[in-house]
Amino acid sequence: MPVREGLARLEGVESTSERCNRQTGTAELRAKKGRLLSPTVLSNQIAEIGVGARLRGLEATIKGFVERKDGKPVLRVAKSNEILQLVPLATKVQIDALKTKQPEPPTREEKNAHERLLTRVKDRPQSVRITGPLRDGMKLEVRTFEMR
Amino acid sequence: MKTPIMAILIGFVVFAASAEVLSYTMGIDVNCPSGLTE
Repeated sequence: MPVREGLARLEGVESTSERCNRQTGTAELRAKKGRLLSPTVLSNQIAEIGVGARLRGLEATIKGFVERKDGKPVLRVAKSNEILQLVPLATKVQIDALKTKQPEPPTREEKNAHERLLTRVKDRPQSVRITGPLRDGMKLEVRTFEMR
Repeated sequence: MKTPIMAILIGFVVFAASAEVLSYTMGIDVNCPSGLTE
């Protein structure tokens, strides 16, 4: 069964891109109602489809409110009760799929995105849109962000 | 997919919450460019 067809059958998946990005070895997915996915469980589901595909990582673009909780920066995800711990970018989901097969090196901006975000976190919650790899344990690596 | 019913059951676990995740980018190792369609 094609990977795309298998993913489309999963409860909660709204759509997937028709083809993967050949340069970065990635594909887009949208969840119904903007739901939050677990990378591990999604990985298991993709393995379950049984066509030899493997989830290397999962990046998300999430709207919410950045604030401090117990001194640590967190993202309170909009329209939900979910709270994600914000951490520095470790490894990009995008790879150089045509040459090295290794994760793309982060740009300088991407490397210091978490640090730059911290300097802008105030006492009150601020509206933000953050993009970065989603990790188990409710962690979001900050690759890019946009304050609203 | 081995069993659609199993996938649906697992799916409820995965997609338990509603939220405002605008999009996902999956890093996926699959035989590109046949990619997701084959």
